[in-house]
Amino acid sequence: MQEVIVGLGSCGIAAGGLAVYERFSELIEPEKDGIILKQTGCIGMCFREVLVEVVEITEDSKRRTLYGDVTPERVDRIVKEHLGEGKPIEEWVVKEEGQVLAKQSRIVLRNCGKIDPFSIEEYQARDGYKALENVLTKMTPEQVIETIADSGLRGRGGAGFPTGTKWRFARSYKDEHKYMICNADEGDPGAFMDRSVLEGDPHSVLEGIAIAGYAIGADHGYIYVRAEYPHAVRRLRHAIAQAEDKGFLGDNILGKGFDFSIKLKEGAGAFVCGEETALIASIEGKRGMPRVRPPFPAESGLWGYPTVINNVETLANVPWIILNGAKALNSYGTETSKGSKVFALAGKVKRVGLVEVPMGTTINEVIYDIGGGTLSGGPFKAVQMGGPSGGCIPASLGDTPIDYERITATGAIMGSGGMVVMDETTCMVDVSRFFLSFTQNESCGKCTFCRIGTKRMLEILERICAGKGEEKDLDVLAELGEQVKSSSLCGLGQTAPNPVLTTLRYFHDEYLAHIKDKRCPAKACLALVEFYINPEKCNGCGLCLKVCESGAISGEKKKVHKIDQSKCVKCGRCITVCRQEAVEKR
Amino acid sequence: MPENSDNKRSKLPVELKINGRDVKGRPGQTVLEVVQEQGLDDIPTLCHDPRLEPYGSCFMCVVEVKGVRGLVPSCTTRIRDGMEVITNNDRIRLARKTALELLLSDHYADCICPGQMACPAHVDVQGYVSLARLGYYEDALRLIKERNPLPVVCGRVCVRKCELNCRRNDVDEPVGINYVKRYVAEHAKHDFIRPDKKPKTGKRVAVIGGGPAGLTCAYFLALEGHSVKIFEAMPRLGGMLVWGIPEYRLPKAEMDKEIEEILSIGIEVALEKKLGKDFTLKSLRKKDKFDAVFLAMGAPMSRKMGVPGEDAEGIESGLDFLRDTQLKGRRKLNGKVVVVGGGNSAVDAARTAVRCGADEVTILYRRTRKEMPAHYEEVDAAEKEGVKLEMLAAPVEAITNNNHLKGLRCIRMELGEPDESGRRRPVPIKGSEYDYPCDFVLSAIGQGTDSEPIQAEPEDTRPALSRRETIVVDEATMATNVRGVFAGGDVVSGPAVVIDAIAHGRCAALSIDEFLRTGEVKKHKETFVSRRDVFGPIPLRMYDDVEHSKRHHLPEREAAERIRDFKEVEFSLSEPDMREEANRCMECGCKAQFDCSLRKYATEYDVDVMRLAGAVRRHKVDSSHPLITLDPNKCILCGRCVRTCADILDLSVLGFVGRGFTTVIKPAMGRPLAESSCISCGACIETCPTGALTAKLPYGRQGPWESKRFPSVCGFCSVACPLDLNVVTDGILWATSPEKSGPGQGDLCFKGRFGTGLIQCADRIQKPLIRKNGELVEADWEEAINEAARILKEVRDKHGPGSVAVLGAARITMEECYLAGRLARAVLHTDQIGSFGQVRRSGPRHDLDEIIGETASTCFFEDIYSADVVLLAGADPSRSHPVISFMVRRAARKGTRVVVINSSNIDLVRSSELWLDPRRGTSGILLAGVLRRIIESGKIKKDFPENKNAELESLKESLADVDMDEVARAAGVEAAKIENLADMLTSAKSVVAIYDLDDTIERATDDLSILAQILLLTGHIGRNGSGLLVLQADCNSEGARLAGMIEGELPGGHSLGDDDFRRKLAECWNADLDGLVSGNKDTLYERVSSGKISGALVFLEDPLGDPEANRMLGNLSALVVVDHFMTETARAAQVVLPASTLAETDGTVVSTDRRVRACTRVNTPPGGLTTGEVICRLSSALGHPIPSSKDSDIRKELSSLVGISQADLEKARKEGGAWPSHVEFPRFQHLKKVKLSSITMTPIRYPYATLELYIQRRLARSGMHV
Repeated sequence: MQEVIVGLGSCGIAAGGLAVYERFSELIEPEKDGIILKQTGCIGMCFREVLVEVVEITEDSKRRTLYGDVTPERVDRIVKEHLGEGKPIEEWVVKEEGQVLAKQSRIVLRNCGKIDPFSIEEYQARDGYKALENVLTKMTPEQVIETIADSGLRGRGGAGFPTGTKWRFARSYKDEHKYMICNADEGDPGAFMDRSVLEGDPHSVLEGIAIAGYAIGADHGYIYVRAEYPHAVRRLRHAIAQAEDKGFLGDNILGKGFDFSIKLKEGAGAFVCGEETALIASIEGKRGMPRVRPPFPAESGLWGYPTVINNVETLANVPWIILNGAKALNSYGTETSKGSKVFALAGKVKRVGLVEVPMGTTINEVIYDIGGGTLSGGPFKAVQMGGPSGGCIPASLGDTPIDYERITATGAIMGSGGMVVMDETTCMVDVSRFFLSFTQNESCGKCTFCRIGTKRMLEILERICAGKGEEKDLDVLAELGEQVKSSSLCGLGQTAPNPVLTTLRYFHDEYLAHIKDKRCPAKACLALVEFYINPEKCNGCGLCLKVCESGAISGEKKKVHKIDQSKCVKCGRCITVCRQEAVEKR
Repeated sequence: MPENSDNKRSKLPVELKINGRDVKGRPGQTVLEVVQEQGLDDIPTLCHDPRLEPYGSCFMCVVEVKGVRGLVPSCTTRIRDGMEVITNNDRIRLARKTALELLLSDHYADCICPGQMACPAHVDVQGYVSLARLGYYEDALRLIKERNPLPVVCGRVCVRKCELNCRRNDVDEPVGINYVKRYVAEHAKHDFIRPDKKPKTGKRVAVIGGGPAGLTCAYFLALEGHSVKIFEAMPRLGGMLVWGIPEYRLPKAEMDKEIEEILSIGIEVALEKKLGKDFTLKSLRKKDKFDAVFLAMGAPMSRKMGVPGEDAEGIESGLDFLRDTQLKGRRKLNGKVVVVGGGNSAVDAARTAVRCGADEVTILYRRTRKEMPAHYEEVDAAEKEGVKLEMLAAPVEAITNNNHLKGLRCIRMELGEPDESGRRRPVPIKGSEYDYPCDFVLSAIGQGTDSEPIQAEPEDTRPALSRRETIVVDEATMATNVRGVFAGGDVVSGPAVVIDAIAHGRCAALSIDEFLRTGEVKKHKETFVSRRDVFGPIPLRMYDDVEHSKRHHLPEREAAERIRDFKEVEFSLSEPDMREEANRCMECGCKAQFDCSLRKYATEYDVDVMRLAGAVRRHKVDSSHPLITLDPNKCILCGRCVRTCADILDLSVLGFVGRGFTTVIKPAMGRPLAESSCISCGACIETCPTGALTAKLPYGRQGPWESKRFPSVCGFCSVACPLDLNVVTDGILWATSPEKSGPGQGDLCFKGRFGTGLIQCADRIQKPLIRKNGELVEADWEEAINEAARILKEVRDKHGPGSVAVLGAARITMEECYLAGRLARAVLHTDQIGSFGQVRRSGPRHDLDEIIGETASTCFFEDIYSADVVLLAGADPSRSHPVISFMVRRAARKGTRVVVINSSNIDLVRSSELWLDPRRGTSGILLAGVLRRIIESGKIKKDFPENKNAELESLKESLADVDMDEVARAAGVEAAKIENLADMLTSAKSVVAIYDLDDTIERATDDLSILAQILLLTGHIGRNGSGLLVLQADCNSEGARLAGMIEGELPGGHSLGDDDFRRKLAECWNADLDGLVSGNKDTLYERVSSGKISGALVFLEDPLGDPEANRMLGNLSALVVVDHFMTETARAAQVVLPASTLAETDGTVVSTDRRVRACTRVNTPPGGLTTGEVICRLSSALGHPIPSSKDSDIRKELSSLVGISQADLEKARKEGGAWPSHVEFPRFQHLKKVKLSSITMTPIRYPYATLELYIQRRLARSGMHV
């Protein structure tokens, strides 16, 4: 028997996975061919999407072949040669898989890319809902909390608060209702860990929520998910319905007298709603604005009732810990940070994708061993961790082992797991401008420093990028940055200056180059570069002249062309079309 | 009511350290609360309001907590044991300063008008222009004189930097600010506003020079209590005002009057005493023992042209020419005169030369007319008088013959690059010399100081001189380098203008005062000013709504006539023109400038707005609402208005729109405020820490003016909310919530907040009126009182004592009610007294007299907050008593269960848990159903007195006919709901029922007595926190009852039949009260309707405005009305007397829950007499003199009569205490059978609330529905 599994996470779909799937379904007749066509979530190697796995199952063995960069056109050949004639097409097989997986430990991603997210049976086949059953039949809520506490699991949303402690707090408050909320409002640019888990393995999250609900004594659960994740939403809805059908959710779960239901709440795209008090306000139908803590949600949260909010990844860990024991998780990681961490590896790195490594793995290992190094092949310049709340860690600190404390010590944060790799073509001023413009846009407007302070910081960065910065601007940036951090009510404001402050710390020279020399070393800030045609390379083909809409390029055929700087608007089209790579920036 | 969970857990005091001190706090308190409560520091905050939950957004209140890395907002940080807090250090100050700089970098607003900003003396231009517009000339003058003691002089000669900077320049022409000032200075009574001098300090100051700088400095120093002596070198005071400014511009007699006014506060003057000649600085300090010296000798020396032949005969300095003209009178000039120079002195010299008969006068100036430093209007006037202008030319040599002037050799100039003054530099054109024949040359190219006397001083008392030989001072303090010696005016600045000298004089006075008091010279802190211009030019769209109008010009004499003499050329504007001109002011300055927290902190923290400048948002001001202006430019997004509207009023009219930097506070969907569901309560204005939300005052002009606060009470409904009157001057006042209102306090509705000022100001009856030949005409008090007495007496004598009624709404004070009662009973011998409005609504009500002793409230309004259940039985407070609806809504949010019994879906149904909607007139039956169920369920209160069992049985009997089905059918309400209510009432720990005594729509037979008995049987009457609240028509309905302004009830609630008390009263009043009982068995209503009343004295009531009452009362033969406004009734009266408002007496008002509230007299009644005084005068005229009309005397008498100590009463007034005190509240007396029938009353629209209608009309006119 053969199985064809098409990767249909958002990454797969974006790469054209649906057309590939369709083509397979046109060509394969399951009954006749004995071939089963399936789909799965993100396999992790997004850089090779569309990925298609062909599994040949015989009585005593399973042979897997993973194809990358599959197109509908290539499907025909795979069907004909591999499925029909049993001859795998070697040149399309993904060869990096071994390297990519070598340093990973897939706990959270244990089922991602392995099972069909629409099939609860497949989840169950991989011990799904056993943890919930164990908990309900064999454990008291206190024992569950102790197990989680012993495992050392810390919040994977970014702050790293010990999950067991949080649950214990919520457990200690007596009230007529309690709520368990899963925060699936992943909003960092470049981060897609939660989305991949929700798309690839929704049941593990549901199971985690139910176990947590049992532990704290909640009767209702919410999943607050970004509306911009349509596939995740669809799969979650489907999964909730399936779980209810099977009696894993709803009244009297598994006949053990535990009532627990889960509702889906789609967020409207405000980044700040990832902050727990703003998230609660949003569910309550109010303006998504953080409020003062204490009281913490564990004491007074949704509708004023004790509430625990955990992130997707945290909750996906839970069933695994229950099944494998606290020690199993404990055995991974460093002294303070246990278990694994999922990262969305992105940016100027060869193998973009989703990776899960044990805590303690170094940044270099992730970038070079798993990610295969930078696109250009040179050393990386910095890695941005933690998204807009995080910071840029320079290559010199590449040996830093990944755990909460050590990442924080660099000025960045663990965050939810965005890891954006940067090389020499990335301007660090521009990067901090980019991240700050994100947070500045997403500020709710409540606190003075976050509302106006980030705006002023952004204006300064924009001035610097435009070559209009002054040296004293750097002092103001640093001063304002510190003040925004210390004088904001919620995590958004408290961390918004991090990208600026870390780049100021590690790439001060680059700022000075912009200000003093009016030069952007990475040649990324358009106001500070000019485009010119290298006469030694130009062959006078005239392509650039044709695409230039501002009429800045002149030159006769077969002769070296020239760019009139007074007319050039730096749109960059000439660079794109030039086959000689003769258009350069300086 | 902020409440927190920590409170529940621990009651032990929390011990912590604040600024190194050991401090104890209550669990759950925030750091800010502890610091404020114990006065440990003055922590700034913008977003915190004690009435709201902590919010923590502005980050002004940040403090340091040991062990916490960042700073924490103290408003949200709860205290913990062992906590160590620092509330002020450099780091904290920097954070606060940065927060302010950020807020102000996006604060597109002007604190004060640019004119005031531009004035060197910073005179409050907008303030005095507003006052002048409204006719408050003395107040306007007082405001000017706070900074400029020479308004008469400035009104004529000021260069008007204010007008040059007036925003109106962007629209059409600047406001004629100086014309307004001149009008005020000429028309206000100066001696009326002479400020009080502070007590003598014993310090002596010598002022050298009697010009504007010296006079100003002397004036302000003398006001501070210092002894000041002016030394003047010339034979008269005034300096350049005398010698430099010609008579036709500044009549010296006017100037002298103004100088006299300054000296009148006690300033010594020594004339013809010159520094260096008669005394030295050293001698003043050492010999004459002056504690400080102010040097203001001016710049009296003329500068020379520096051309060959300058000493020839026929050439003199313009200044000498002007001085000689002033000293010796006009001299005859023959021939052609050339005046060299382009400043005001040059123009003055030229115009004076014209008046001296010169054949031709020419002004020779090296730049063009545009660059002339002289005021353009002066140049225009000179041209009109025939002066020629020779521009772009300069003298190079005087052409002489035998040292006798023949002409000037001049050279043509052209304009080159701008110089440091910004004007283009004149450059000679080579070879363009030409000769200008003339007979006289007056050089007016500048003046200099006379530095000789200074240079002659010994080193230790010699102030430093600049290169220009001016005295060097620290410009912030005007202090020289010699201790105790200050200088100002032209001697410091070189030749400048009057207002600069005045500014110097005042600045020096402040520093000298500081120096004399403390021995130190300190820079005086300038109040922070936010300015729109720092953000670049103002977009013209900002002026879209400004109507264009022409500037007025001063009337002037014809040129041909005026050149013949030295009499004044221009005259003041007429009053209407001046008011129109004042009305052109666009009121650019912020209305909150005097109480803006942002401005206060910006001053305190010395912010630099430009440090963090960046993009600024420019918003349109929302002035759509008739009462409230919303200016988002000034908003700092603290959200206090949003939270107030949502949490205190449960309305959420305002909200945040947009996100991040672009967030703005507006009504939903960004709509204008007028189109929102705003109820105009104005609580948002109250809480706004800046000027983003401001009240529109009913005065046509908005000031802003500084005001003083006085406690008073709202006169619009029987809640009688305490409020503060903010008083500017007689006639200008407005209401705000009392200062320091805590949680759940400080509510006002639109009537109180906006109506209080409104009734004060417009259309009041100003003078007594008497009907003569069918017309009401003004009369004096004497005549009007006598006439009123005559006609009332005539009716009484003709038709007997029962023929006159005294009608009055209880909107007069308790004292006035008492006097009215005395007038009725002791003088007119009638007991027919009371509110006819109440009578028309078949009051006064006595439903509960038998049951609980009197028909009144049995608990306090505050009990609403703590009640388990609030039952609105027919009352609709949102309509009649809005503040009660706020309280109920707030209670509902906190978990109080609200039940509404009303046939209509009233506003509070929204906040209710249960709504029973009986058919109109059946609420009594419905309540009977409830009562019966309670009795039948056996859940009546446990300690029900046994001796009342018989009464209970008979009550039961009277309920026998109604079983639940019958009730449900009759009322049209499901039985389950009625049973639900009954169960709620029996199980609740505390119940507050609210009933409206004056409602004629929902009323049903015996509804109130059934309601009261429900409360009695469930134990909710006679216990703290539970009971009945009755709403009444007028603010002082309860006070009127207590003072005896009610038919059949004497003061203190004693019945008319109480012979002992009546005798006591007769003795006290020295009157015969015996005839009162027997004569009038029928009620007032019956007597009126049967035509037995022939005369009436009416207070603040308009019975003739009600058609039915009009039919009954229309043929009175004597009608005397005391009112604020010309009502229907007033129009029909023979005599109309002006009444006073609550802001015009020191009387008392008692709310319907018996809170005693004191009024403060802050305004003069328009007619000059208070209502109480009117009653006393009337009583005297009727032959019964009342010994005192003073409110305190009346309270003394009243308290002695009713058995409360005067001290207790005064204490209750001060603290808002209850009277009778809490323990004396009505208690269970008897149960009473009830009648069951369904009746429907025709709702009566008696215009009892003239004031409310008046406001509503005003508001409706502005398009607002209230």
